[in-house]
Amino acid sequence: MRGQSGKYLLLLTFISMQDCRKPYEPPAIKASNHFVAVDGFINTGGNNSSTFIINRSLNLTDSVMDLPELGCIVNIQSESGVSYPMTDTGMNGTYVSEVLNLDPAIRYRLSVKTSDGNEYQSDFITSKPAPPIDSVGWELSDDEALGSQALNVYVNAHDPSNNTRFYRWDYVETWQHSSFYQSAWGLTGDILHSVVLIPEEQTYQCWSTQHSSTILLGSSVALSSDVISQMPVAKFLKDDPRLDIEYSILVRQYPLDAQAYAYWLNVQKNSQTLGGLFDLQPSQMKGNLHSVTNPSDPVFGYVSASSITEKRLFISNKSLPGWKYSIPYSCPTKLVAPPDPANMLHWNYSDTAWALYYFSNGIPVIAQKFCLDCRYQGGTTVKPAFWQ
Amino acid sequence: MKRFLLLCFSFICLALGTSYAQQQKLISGNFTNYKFPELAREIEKQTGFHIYYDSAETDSLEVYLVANGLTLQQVLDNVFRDTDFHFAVAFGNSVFVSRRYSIQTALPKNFFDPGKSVSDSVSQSALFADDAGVQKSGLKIAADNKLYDIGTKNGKISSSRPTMAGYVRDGKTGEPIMGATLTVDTLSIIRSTDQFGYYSLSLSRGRHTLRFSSAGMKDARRQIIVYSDGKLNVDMEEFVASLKTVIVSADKTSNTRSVQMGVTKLNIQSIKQVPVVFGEADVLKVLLTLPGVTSVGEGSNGFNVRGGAADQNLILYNDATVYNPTHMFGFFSAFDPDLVKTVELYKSAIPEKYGGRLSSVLDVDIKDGNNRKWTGSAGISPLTSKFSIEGPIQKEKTSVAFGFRTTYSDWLLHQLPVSSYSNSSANFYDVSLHLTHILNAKNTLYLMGYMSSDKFRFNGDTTYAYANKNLNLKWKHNFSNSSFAVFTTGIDHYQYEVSSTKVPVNAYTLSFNINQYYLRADFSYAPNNKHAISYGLNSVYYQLQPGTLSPDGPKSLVQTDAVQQEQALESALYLGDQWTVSEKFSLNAGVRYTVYNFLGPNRQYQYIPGLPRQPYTIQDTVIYPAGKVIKTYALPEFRFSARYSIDNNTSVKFSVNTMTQYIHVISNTTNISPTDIWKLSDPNIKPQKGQQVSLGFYKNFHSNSIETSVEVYYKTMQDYLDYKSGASLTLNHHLETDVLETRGKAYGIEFMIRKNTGKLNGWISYTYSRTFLQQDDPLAGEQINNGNYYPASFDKPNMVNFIGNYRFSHRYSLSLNIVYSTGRPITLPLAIVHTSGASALYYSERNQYRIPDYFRTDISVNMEGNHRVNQKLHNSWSAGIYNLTGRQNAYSVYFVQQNGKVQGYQLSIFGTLIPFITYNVKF
Repeated sequence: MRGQSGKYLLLLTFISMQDCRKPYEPPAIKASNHFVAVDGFINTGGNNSSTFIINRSLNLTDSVMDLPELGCIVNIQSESGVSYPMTDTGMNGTYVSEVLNLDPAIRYRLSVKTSDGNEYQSDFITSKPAPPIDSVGWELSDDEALGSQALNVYVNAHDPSNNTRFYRWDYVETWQHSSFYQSAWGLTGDILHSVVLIPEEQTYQCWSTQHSSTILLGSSVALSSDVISQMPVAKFLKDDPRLDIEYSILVRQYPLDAQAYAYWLNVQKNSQTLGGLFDLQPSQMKGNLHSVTNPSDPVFGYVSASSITEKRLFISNKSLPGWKYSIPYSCPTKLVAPPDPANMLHWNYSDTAWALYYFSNGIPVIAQKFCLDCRYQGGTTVKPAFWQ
Repeated sequence: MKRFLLLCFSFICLALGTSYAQQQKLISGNFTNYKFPELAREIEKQTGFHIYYDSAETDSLEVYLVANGLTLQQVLDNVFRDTDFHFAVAFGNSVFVSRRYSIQTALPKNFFDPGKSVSDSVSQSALFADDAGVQKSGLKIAADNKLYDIGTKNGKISSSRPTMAGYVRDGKTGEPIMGATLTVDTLSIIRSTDQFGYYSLSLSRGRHTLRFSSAGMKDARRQIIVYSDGKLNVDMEEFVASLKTVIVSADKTSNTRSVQMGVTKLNIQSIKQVPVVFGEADVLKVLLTLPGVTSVGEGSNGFNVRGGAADQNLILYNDATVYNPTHMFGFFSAFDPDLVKTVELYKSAIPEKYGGRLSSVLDVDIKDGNNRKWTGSAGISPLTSKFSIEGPIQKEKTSVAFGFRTTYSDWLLHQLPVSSYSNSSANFYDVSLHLTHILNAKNTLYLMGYMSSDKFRFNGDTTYAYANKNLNLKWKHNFSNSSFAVFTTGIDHYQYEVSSTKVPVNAYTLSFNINQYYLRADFSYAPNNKHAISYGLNSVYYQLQPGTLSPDGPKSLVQTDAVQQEQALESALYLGDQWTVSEKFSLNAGVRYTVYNFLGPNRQYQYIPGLPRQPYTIQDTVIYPAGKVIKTYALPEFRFSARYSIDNNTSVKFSVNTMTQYIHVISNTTNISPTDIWKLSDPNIKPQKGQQVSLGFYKNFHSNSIETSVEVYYKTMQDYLDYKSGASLTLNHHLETDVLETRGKAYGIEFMIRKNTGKLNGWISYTYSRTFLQQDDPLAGEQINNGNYYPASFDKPNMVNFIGNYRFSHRYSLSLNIVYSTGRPITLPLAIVHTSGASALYYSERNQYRIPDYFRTDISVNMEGNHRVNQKLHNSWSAGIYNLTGRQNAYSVYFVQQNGKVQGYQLSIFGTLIPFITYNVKF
């Protein structure tokens, strides 16, 4: 009996230790933390337009992905008092200036007036010229940690005047991909037609494009000359779908000043994951924008002024022996009842998830549309102008 | 024959005592401003005793006394306190009052054995015995009233003020009594015994009465005649409370009279009264209830003193540095309560003997073994069991004390049907061993060994393990009565390990350790009663392994990564003097000069001057060979404190301290279980420096049974390390790029009311304290919170503690704890920002928010077995409830990314009320 009650007591002790974790949502986290965030740079490269994306930050538990800020009045202002208005493209809070020839010797700032009447300004910024990218290259290596072959894309640059020192890069990557089957048939209304000679109607070859999602930074301050050598930009593991056919990366280089570099370094650190032993400590991202209306109102972003240099690299699957991507789903085909011989091109198959693959001795062989149309994997069937 | 006579003598004594006790009548009345003869008449009227006195001598003696049922003994003790009058009771109802000499009503203890001791021999002038019959022991009467000769009558007169010295010991166990207070009749001399129970003082030649008092012991009195330098060892008797006896309070007047300020001394008895989780007496938990002491959260490793960081406390366990003083997430302290003798916490006025940390020194002293007989104790509670034993290996010469404590929560966890528990484990143990060997009267050796180990794992994932190992050897040598030295050498070791084997491919072990080897020589010299000089040399050699990541298991693909080992030598010379200027005014001044050498082999990065230290500003790497002095820091430290007594019950104290610290901790606080990264000062990381000024006002009431104090302090710190934004702390090969040197300031006020005696005892304390840091160096690369002062992560402004113990009877008591403190500051992620394709978290300014306040109430009932002094086993029960209100106090607050969202969690380990029961037995 005594032992029993003793055990019960012990159980109680441990059970009371159970369920000791509960969500922590203090008022500061639950409050609406939708602050204005400005992303972009003033392009002083000559004969160029500048683009800014203005959106709002999200609360930690928000389910929306994006809160674009529409209807802002956005201006690039020069120190000498000239204003260059930017227009709202109406898309995702993107604002674009006209093609301008801004004088790199003059300091500029960005002014944003949101539709709710709050006004934000950046500091006046000295423009910095971007040195050219010397090369963008790639190499294969064996990644021991992952036990797999990997492809690294890197960039090389230098500034003979030794003035740049701090660099940021981003890139736009485009890759070609294809559908599981190539069908020669297109459909207009319920009438089939051959697309063999109409490239704009083909659905076999696609090109997908996406922007980099990490902050890439480099510095040469510790070096005797301003050289960036073999700076890794992107990394692919073996059989990456992007390298299945042909891949292209456009690397863009932005020169930064020391303060901007420190800001982007913090953004880089704050965009890593949380919750583990090796985590980074929290950091503040102190940009160069402030609210004119209410100085305590946070606003994110660091506006730089610079020219920009870029370089494109193509990588063909042919130069990657053994790299093969397999679409991770199967594509069964079916034979269906032959069409009315009098009206062979009239398509009346009821299930619209399926489409004609080819005729086998007059009998239609069908497959699911995602096996016939590469756009189901994303991208567009229009070949980009720069594609080789 | 002798034995027979002695027996007869004892019998007479006992008979006298008994008859007296039976006839005892109590005295009441307001005797304020009475002259002694008037009082004597009143006493004769109320008690029927007859008092014999010299009216010419006692005429001038004024009485200030309100008696409410006091015994004759108590009244006369009160009246004659601090005078040279003595009284003796004899023949049932006669009281003899004498001046200067006391009348012996019994023969001294070794009256019939004169050959036994030469210098302790009985003076011929001691003819009659006095004293109260309440004391039953013959030994006591004799010792208290015997007249001891100090030195030899015909000896060479060495100085006009001979010195006498000796050890104060527990009469029953022979263990030295530390901190016993020694007063000399009407002279303004107060001495405390040191950690060895040793005291020394110089007196004018002639007759004196010494009074010894110590917590839990009966006061002892010695009458001496000083001829020349000599020795006097004193055995004190345990205080066995009997009803209606006035309880002698612990450190009766020490609060207002000692020079030390900001020092709290606790003996194990008062520690054991405080209810704690699982009924285990806990040194650290009790410390946390003192004003000015706080912890960052429940279950954190260690504590913060006066707005200092947890690593700024020097924790000494019998002079060994303990790096992690806790078990199981900090829920138990790693010191076995059965082996602890005393605990002292220095918050300000840190003795010059100690150094190397900015905030405080916690000095936990281990027991010496009983050198007369074997005794022990055992205890059992739901989670732990402990056992200790002590005794003489060679009587009066060599003794040992040993303690072992362990948990058996492991099997218990495995019993539970919930898989998250059966896959968990929690294990700890600690072992302490202390050997004392008295070589001869001048030389004593002490050997101490300590080991504590912890290992816990939750739900079969990450295992956390850590261990302390300490070993030291001490040699105490007395050069003369007024001077002695202690030489100490030892090794301290601390290690921790985090390992995860959940995913075999990623299985890793992250390990870390510190070793330090030290040598200390501490000298004490008291040329006279006005000065007590201490000087010495300390040297510590540190060896730090700041992190090694290695694969765990054959499938693991983790790459071994080791941060380079660091080593350094810290040496210090110190000199201090405690100067008693007058009875009312005393001061303590000291200087400590520290030299720190950061040593090779090491690889040091050199950064571009004038630019923030960042990986990209590394200009050069210099490799130094083994033993090469890479960087030297030499810094002086100053200690000063003074006390002025306004009257017997009131004093004001003031202190100024400067401190230096060469070993730093950076805490990774963002994850569930905080891990600490220790770092030695090197060319890039400067030592941290601190200065503290404090002022205290102390007043005691009701014959010192109620102590009150107010202390204010102001502290400044330089080069305290805080992390940079986005710092990566674990396995960082260039930690200097991720830390910032900040400037700190801390200030506060501490109030305390403490009642030591009576049925209700305990204390209430309130502390208001703030700690702010500032980083505004434009070259640091980052200004935290725009270069403004920001609260340190351990800044907790308001703290209230109540510890109460109510004694219903001698066997039953009730204890209650109430703890409240402001929640600690936290940096919160507030929003997610999309920029340049990345999603970044937006954090608040550093430490701008606080986690919920901490509040906890515990209650416990303690039941003691019967109090017969001579029974073989003494047992006691303790039962209670921890966290009575069931409040879910936060142990840690952390954020994780789940399904693309960021979710915050508050983890509370003891989120509900927890009943406990403990059984202890002493034999």
